[in-house]
Amino acid sequence: MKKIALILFAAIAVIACDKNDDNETVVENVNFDINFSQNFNGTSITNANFNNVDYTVANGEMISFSRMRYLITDITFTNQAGVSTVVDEYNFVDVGEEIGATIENISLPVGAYTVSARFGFTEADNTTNAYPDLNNASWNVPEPMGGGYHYMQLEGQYINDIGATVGYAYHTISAAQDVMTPEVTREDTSILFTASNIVISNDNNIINVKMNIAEWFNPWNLNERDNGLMGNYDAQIDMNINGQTAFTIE
Amino acid sequence: MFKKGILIILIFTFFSSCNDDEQESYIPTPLAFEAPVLFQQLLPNPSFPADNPQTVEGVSLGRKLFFDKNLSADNTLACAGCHAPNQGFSDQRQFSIGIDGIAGFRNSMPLVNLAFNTRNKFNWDGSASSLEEQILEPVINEIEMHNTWPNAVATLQAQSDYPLLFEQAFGTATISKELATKAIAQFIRTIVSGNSKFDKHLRGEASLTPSEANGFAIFLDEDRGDCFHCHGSDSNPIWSDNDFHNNGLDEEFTDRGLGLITGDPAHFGLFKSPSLRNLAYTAPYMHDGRFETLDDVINHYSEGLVFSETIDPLMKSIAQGGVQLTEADKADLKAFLLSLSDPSLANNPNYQNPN
Repeated sequence: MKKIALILFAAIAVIACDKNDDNETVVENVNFDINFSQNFNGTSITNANFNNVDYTVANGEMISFSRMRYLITDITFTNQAGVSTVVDEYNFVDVGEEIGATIENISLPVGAYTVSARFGFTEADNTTNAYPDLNNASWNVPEPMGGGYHYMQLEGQYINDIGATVGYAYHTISAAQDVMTPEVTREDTSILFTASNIVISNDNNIINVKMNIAEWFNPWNLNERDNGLMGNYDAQIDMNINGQTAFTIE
Repeated sequence: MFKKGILIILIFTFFSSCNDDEQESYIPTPLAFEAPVLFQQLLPNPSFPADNPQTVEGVSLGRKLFFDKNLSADNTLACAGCHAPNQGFSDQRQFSIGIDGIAGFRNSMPLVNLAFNTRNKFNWDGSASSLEEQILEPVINEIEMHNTWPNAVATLQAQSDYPLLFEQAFGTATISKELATKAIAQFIRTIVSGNSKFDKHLRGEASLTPSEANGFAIFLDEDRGDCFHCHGSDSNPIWSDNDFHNNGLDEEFTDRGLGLITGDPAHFGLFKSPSLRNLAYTAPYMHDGRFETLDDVINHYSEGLVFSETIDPLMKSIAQGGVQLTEADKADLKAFLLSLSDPSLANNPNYQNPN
C-alpha cells in the first residue's frame, strides 16, 4: 500500500513538473483596447466639433460635420509566426452618438503584430439583412442600389461657390451601376488598411485606428458632388481612391 | 423542557423565514414577448429594463391604468384619451385637449412598436430617456392630466381593486408612481404593429399593386423620395431611424424641438422621425400636426422645403423647394405609404379597454 502511494505521489510530481515546464514557454497575455478616432489633418474631431463650418477641404470649401458614422470590419492581429486572430468582425462607429469609439479588453500574447482592418464590408460579408444591429441603425443600402450596408455616412454643410450654405451627404457604399433597375450590379469598394510591427505589451496597451477626414475630400469638389452620391458609380470609385489614405493604425 | 423550548423556537423560526421568503421572493408570471416574424428576422431582440421585466400581471395592470381616467386630476382623461387604439394610438386632433380644455402644442405621438426603440429617446423632442420616464410627465403636465402623483397614487390606493393588482404585479399593495409607470410601460411595450399589407407582401402573403410597388421604389430612390435614410425600409421595419432631424418646415422656429432639451442651437428645430406605420389612422402629421393629409406631407417634401440653419443635409434641392416629384409619383408614393398601415391594430383584443 505504501509503495502504491509512493508511486502515485511520484507520478503526480512528474506531471506537475511537466506542466511547470510548459508554463515557462507560454507568453504572457495582455489586455488592450482599440480606440477609433477622427481628425481633420491632425485636428481632433469629436461630436463636440460638430456643426461648426471651420474646416477647409483641399478644393477650398469650408465644411462642417453633423453626422459621422462608419464601419470598420475584420480587425485582425497577425503575429510574427503568421497566426491571425480576428478580434472583431465589425465595429460600427457613430461619432455623434459616441458609439463604437473603443473595443475594450482584448487579450492577446505580448509581442509584435501586423494589424489589419477594413473600411466597409467585403462583398462576401456585405449581405443584405445579415446584421440586425445594423438594420436597427438604418445602415442598410436599398436593394435597388445594390443592397448590403453603407460603409460611411458623413454629413454636414459647406459654403458653395456662390457663398450659400448647402448640405452635403458623403455616403460611401459598394459602388453600384444601373441602380434602381433590375440589372443593378455592385463592385467591392471596401478598403483594407494595414500596419506592421505594432507592439502590444504592458507598456503599450492601446491601439489607435485614426481616420483623417480631410483625405476623403482630397481631391473633391462639393459644388459638383454634394448629395445623392450612393447611386453615382463614378463618385463611389473616386471616394474609394480618396479613402485609401484616410486610415492609419498606431 | 429545554428540548421543547428549542423545538418551539425552531418551528417559529421556520415559519418566520417562510413568511419572509414569500414576500421577498414573490415573482409574477414572466410574459414572453411575441415579436412579428419579420421583426425577429431583421431586428435585435427588444431589451427590457432589468428592473421592469414583462409579466402577465404587470401588463394586465398597465392596460387597466392606461385606460383609467382616475390618473387625471378630475377623473376625466386617461392615457388612451390622447392615444386611442383606433387612431393608431395617436390622436386625430391636431393638438390633444387636456382636462381644463386647454390644447397642447404638439401632435400626439403614436405608441406603437416602442419596445424596439433601442435609442431610448422618447417624445418629439427626446425629452424622456426611458418609457417609464416618459409616462411620468403627462400625469402632472398642467395642460394634460393636470394631476399630482401623490394625488393620483392616493386615488388608486383608495380603489377596491388596485392594491391587490399591484400586489400581484409587484409583490406589494403599496402603490407608488414608480410602480404605476412601470406597469403602464409594460403594457405599452406589448403594443406591436407588424401586420400591414406591406408586411404581408414581405412574407409572401400579398402582392403590391403596381402603384404601391412604384411608390416603394420612389421611397428608396435617392433622386426622388430618398425617404429611407430617416424612415427605415424593408430592412428596418420600425420605419423610423428614431433619430432627430430638421425636415425643412420653417425658416424660424417657434418650437425648438430637441434644442429645447439640449440647449444646443445646432439642435433647434430638430424633431424625432415618426414611424410611417399606420399613417391611415394617425393624421394629422408632423410634430405640430400642421398637415392634415398625406398629400400635404408629400407636397412638402416635393416642393415645400424651406431653408434654416439646422436643416438636415438629406433635405435636397432646397433652392427648388424639394425633389419635384411628378403628380404620378406622388400618387404612387402615397399608395405605398398607406400599405404600411395595419388594420388589425385597432381591434386587437389585447389592446382594448378592460375597465
